[in-house]
Amino acid sequence: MKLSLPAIAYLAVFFYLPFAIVVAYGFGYPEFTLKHFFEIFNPIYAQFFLNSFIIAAITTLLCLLIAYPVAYYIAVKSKKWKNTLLILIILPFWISFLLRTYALMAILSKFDLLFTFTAVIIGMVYDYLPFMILPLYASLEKLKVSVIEASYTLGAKPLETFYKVMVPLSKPGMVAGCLLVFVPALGEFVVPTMLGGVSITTLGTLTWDLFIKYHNWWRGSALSVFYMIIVVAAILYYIKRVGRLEI
Amino acid sequence: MVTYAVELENVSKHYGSYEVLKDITLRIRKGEFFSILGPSGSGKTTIIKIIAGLVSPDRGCVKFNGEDCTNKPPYKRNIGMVFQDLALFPHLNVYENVAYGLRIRKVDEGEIREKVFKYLELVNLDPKIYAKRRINQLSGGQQQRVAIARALITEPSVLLLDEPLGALDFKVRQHMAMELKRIQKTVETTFIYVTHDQSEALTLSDRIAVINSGKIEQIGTPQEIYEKPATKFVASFIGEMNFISARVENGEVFSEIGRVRVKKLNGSREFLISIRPEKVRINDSAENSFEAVVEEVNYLGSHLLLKLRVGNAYLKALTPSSVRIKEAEKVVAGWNSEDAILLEA
Amino acid sequence: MILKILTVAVFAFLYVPIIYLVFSSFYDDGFTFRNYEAILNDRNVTTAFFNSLNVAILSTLISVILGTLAAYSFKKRGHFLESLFYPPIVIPEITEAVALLLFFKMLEFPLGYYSVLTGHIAFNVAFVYVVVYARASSIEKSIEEASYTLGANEFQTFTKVVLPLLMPGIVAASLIAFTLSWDNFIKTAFTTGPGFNTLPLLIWSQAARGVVSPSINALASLMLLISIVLSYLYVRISIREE
Repeated sequence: MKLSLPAIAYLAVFFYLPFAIVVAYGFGYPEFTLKHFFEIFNPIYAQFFLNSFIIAAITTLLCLLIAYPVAYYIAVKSKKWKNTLLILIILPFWISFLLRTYALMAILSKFDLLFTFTAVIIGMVYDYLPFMILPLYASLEKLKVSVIEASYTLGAKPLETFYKVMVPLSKPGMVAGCLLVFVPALGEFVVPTMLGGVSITTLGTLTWDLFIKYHNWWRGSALSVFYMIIVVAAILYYIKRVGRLEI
Repeated sequence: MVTYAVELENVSKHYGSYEVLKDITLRIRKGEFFSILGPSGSGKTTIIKIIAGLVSPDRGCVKFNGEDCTNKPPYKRNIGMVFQDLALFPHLNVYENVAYGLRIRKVDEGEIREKVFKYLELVNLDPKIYAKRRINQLSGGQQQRVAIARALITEPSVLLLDEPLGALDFKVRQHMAMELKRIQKTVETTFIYVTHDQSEALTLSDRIAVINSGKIEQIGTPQEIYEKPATKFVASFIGEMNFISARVENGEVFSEIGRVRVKKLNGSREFLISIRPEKVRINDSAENSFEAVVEEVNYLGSHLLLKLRVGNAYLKALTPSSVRIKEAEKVVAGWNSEDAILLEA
Repeated sequence: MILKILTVAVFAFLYVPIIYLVFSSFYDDGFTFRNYEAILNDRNVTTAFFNSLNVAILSTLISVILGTLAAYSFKKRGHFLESLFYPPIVIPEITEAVALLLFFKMLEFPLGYYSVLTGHIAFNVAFVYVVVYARASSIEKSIEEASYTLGANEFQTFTKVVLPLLMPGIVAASLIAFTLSWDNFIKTAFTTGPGFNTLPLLIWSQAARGVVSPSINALASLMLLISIVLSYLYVRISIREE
């Protein structure tokens, strides 16, 4: 116990205390007011939230659709290449979003796609895809081929087998993957800025502008608190759904 | 005055509201092979951990050679311990595992080498072959030997063994038990051996403490434990036993299968008559004889184990397999009163 | 078959941009090292490189010490405080970044090297904790007890038994912590001050304006190389452990 105190003290001061300060600013520190929360719910901001939500939702859906067959292929079908493919999925985790987005930017500019909504979506899917594949792979890996075969021998057609056997069994992975993509995508800052330019404002770019450009810490904090509430709600939902938090 | 290798005096231990040990008193003599025998969950591992100093008792004290050591940490107790899972250090090879205790004591390299070789030889592991091996390259029995050598090399006053044979196959287990006996005779160290296996305890020990639900039921030599069990638990836990309930009326003893003669009454009105299956006599004269029907015959090779119905009760009997007996046969079963043990009901 | 084609296509999608980036870093009217020469001679780049390295090494070192001690101590006894280590991993970076910015502003702590370092340690501690904890919880209690009964005290047991057994976890955690710090952009951007630049900030200052320049290509390729080397080491260690 004693040995953990330095680490806990460090987190208390440099992680938890700063969050308390954000909450305090959100409520108008040094005064107390709800004004800043009302400010962020005005129609202009609502448009920004909607942008973020649409981008995050499309990204999550595309990632799920693309990742599922790939994860299935790696988990069930590939024998010889399994480890190599896994390493290739894990490798992007070791490369920052900044670098990966930059790499994509070079290609997108060749196709004249830069600073469009499409570019942002491509960039988001590009960055977040591994976050969907890995948890899906983990849950599909546990699913034994014999279970699928058992379903076939019991007379279920491939599509029925998919709905009745594979989807329920891989649900924890799907939920985890969707949250791992949706929640950070909602606040994503690097991709919309680099690939969307000034044309698209999202929660992430708005946070940056409020803090770095306008030094409006109160409104920025209120926005951050709002985002935090979404994050915490998502995590609680996940814990309730899957039963535990596994990283 | 005799000084004991280890004494536990009125030791109690709780985990939460669960009482693991209730007022345990044990005196273990120097050079003795002492077993603590009990079913799983009886608290025997807690006793050995209290002796080792890995668990501290709520009440009572632990003495080594007459000196109170209750608050001494394990590393100052001069003990050796062989763990249930052996707890060999996976990052060290055989040589370094065995040398560990000496390195901690800052013994010089020449002496360490000499002793590691000596103790590996003691446990029948050829140092030339095994010293450099990694732990996961050894069989279960070999790992066992390394664990024993590691625990003995510091020449502890007591060696604690916590079900060390539990993980082994039956054959290896039997062989290792004999090895333990041999090693103990060679090093003459006090061994305290925790086990749930009664046959191991009977063959290895000088004395046995039988423990159940945190209480000592009986302490004695293997003969005493087997032939004169003090409680119903001891009688049933060690070997097979028939129990016939009985009561005294007007100086006569009535059992559930009829009137019987007993050797000596112990004063209580209701009690159990206990007879070992091998003491049940079949078609042979005995002080107490009853008509019985053979319900089951189990062939054990040298012996037959019979299940006999006497009235509404059942008796187990062991008889040489040369005696031909078939199921449903009518026999006369009985026992002599000197072979019966009277126990509290 | 369709699955296979799709999988290949996805991997192509993931890796073609990266390969193209590396390729173009050597290209300027034909194969050339000129882009690399340019960045090596650029004072801004070399300063930022050493800043990045400095923050990454120090934050790794400190977080490994703090995180390992915590992981070891919690392994011995489950505790509610243990859950304090998970939020820094789960919470989106941008919220942590603004929290740190406000914290430093409120304390009137000058933004720059120390504020960046402090922030990097905060999330690295949590990652180190999680990785080392996984390792620590695989060490049976009896292994330590065996060491005690052989005469080793707590400190000797920690250095001679626990630490060597934790080592693969500590090395893996160090690699992760170093990479997270080396690559970090958002937290660094929010908590840095005038004059303190790191490599990701340098790339950002160009790329945020949509500029793709050959010298940034070279710089990004170099950073990629370092990330790949680190992840290669990590994979090697985890495979050897299995």
